Amino acid sequence: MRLPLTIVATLLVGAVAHGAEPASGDRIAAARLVSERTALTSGGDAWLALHLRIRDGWHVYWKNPGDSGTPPRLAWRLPDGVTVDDFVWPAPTRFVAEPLASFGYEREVYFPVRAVVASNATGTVRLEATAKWLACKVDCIPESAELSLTLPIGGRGGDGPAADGIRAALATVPRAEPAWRASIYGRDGDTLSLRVTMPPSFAAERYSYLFFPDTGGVIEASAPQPVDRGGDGIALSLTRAATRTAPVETLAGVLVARPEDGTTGGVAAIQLTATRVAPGSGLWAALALAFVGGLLLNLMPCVFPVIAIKVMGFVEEAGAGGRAGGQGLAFAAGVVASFWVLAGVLLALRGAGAEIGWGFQLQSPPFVLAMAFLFFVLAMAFLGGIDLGGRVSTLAGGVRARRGLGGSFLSGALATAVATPCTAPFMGTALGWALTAPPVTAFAVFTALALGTALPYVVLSASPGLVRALPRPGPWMETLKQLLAFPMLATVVWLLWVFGLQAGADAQALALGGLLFAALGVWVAGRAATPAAPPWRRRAATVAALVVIAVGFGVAVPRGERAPGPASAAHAPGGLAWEPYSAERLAALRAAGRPVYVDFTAAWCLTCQLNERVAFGSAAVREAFERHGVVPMRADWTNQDAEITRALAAFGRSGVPLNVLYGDEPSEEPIVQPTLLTPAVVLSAIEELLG
Amino acid sequence: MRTAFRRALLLCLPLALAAASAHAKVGDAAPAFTLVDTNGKQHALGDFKGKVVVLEWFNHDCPFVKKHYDSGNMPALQSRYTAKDVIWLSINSSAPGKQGNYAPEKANELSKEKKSAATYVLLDPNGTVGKLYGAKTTPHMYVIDGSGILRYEGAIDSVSSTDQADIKDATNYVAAAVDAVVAGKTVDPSVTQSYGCGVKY
Repeated sequence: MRLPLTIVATLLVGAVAHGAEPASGDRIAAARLVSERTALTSGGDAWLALHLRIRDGWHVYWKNPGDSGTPPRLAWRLPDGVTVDDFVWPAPTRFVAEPLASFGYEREVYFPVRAVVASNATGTVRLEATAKWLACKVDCIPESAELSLTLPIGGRGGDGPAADGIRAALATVPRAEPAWRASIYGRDGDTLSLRVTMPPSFAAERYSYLFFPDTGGVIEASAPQPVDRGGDGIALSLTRAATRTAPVETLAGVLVARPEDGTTGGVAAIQLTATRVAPGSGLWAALALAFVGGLLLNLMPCVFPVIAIKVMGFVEEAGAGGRAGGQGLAFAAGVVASFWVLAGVLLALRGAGAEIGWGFQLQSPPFVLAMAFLFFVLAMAFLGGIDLGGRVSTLAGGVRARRGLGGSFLSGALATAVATPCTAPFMGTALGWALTAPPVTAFAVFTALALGTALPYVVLSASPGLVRALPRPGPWMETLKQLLAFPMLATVVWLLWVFGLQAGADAQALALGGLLFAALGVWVAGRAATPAAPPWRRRAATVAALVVIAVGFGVAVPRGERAPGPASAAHAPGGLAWEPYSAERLAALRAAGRPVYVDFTAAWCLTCQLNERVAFGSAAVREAFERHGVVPMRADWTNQDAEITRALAAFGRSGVPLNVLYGDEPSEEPIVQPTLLTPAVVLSAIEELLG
Repeated sequence: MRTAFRRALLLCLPLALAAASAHAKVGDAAPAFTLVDTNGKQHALGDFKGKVVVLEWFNHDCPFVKKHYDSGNMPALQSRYTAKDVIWLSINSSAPGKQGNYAPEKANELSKEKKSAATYVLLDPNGTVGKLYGAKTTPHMYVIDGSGILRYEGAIDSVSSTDQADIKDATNYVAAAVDAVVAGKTVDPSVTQSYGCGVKY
């Protein structure tokens, strides 16, 4: 009975390791290929692993080995129907031998490898690999082994003997956690402070910390990392690499938190990318950047339709001989209040773990649709369909003033809502900073942004010179008002395009049908609510109009499943063969030394659309991409996408646009492009990194 | 607690600064040193003013060093550049009793056996010069130009392994750096991460 059982076990477990050279007993590390499950599933994936059992006192290396050493390698020879990814690296430990330090593993380690099995694969497969690793104590010995693993495909596999080991290793593989954010503080001297904010649920004081940089030559591997706990996280003091000449602007790596009581199960390893906080650093710089960003926001295309409403307000104000100053303040109040609402919702959702950023509301198709309805109805009103709020210039002063203030407040709110698709220069840095700062600070930054946005209107409305300069009211006002309806209709066209990309062509058709209802509603109101009509009739007409518009919206609003396929703004002209963004693909291309240009964009981001047409439509840019073999990669954030949100956060951003050029040296830091692109800007970056 | 901790950090800062600023940095003057070679002769870096100098940290028992000597890669580089009037200094910073530390006679024997073509093989058993330059691994390479400015620091080539087969596909950073310095061009890359065994200080 014993013999067959052994054979069955060998077949099922299949972990047959044989050393090519001396028997594994003579080796520093004994290697095997192992599998989590005893069988593979066709069309599924599985965890395999390289298992090393290492002699006491010796160690093998992490992907960044530290000051010396080299990571293990595995060269596969795979049968048809099975593919494997690269290793994933479990959390490393540090071995210090003054003045040097290594990052790696001692005693025993599993390097998990994900395997994918084709759906038509059957039978039994034999996976072979050559493993090479360097084992060091004080001396270093390179070792290698020819390994193989035979596994059946299909059937009911159970846990193999290595299942627990592989799972324990996978549990310590660093993961990206949006609630953990890192920034570099302090002047760039020989030490830098890495501040990490953590979710409140993490008992920070119960852990000891070590930061492992992804690449060498940034910080000293052997330097102590004194930790300062407090507030909502920790600060680690790191020592800049003595040989480094460039300042440390970004720092990517793994923060390993080990329970101080020595329990092995509770290791947390978090993948972090820290960026230096806004130049000059700190709150004041962020506030100043936000204020200037807000000011510049008025020059972005998003805000044009609201300027139309505002201009009408000033004109009517001047015509009525009133003071526009109060209006300006009411408008500012509207802007500030709605920025607060946005910031509050954004921070609350992020606190709850949602991976969203600036402009998140436009990732919701119902919101985009509601905006389209709002602008459509406003445009109809401007064209003369109805007279919203009565004929202001003929009403008595007191009533007019009150209505006017409310209107200004609302148009301030509207300005904020439509301004979010645009990120102005300087705003990205300030907002990225704000969203990692404590809530009070974040609100201060949002307030500065709002005040910057509102400032031109407050100044204009408070200056009597402007009011005097306006011509006397007359028929020209009606013409101007009708003319201003067209920027709004243009906004509707754009919003429906975004909506179509998000929800699909059918939904878009329904949305157009909904707008038909809205037009009907406006017509009803306009016919019934003539100045001569009795008040009850006007009220009834308004209610009827609102009902019809609401029905239209109800018809159009998308329900349930989103249309299949990712939204893509890739229809933009340019002829560049954009690849969809994937962190894995990016890492692979970079490792292979290919330069990559990543365009973080969204259909609803007007600044992005402008950039794409101006910069990537240029033949010179296309030609430069081709000549230098730059891979164009597009991160489309039109819909919610946690991976892209994380990638943005890695650059200290919380919104689009963001354009980044990676050079052909994997260790080289990428160039972050300014918010507004021109062909010259893109070309000079290519020239700088690849020329 | 926290203030005490901060104060302690502040006190440590000048020490850290002093220690760090002593290190060699690309673009700055290469720190001066004097060492004795395996034949008992003293050499100072200043003796070679006007010439391009290559510093090579080595330890013949390290598999990464073996890769480059046993394949003939390192001796070939040494011959190629010493023939062009480049000074090649191989430096051994292994401490007494540690791996790779040999008496001068044995060291000369090894140099012969390994076909070293270095100008001089220097002994740094106290590790002073190794630490001065921040040498971390064997091999760890430095290129100094004729006016004494450090122009390159880091790995010998682009593939970190102990496999001789990897040499042919690797970019040799040292050759590129010396060629650039000789031709009066900028060195690119000028800093890379060195790879190898830790120096046995």
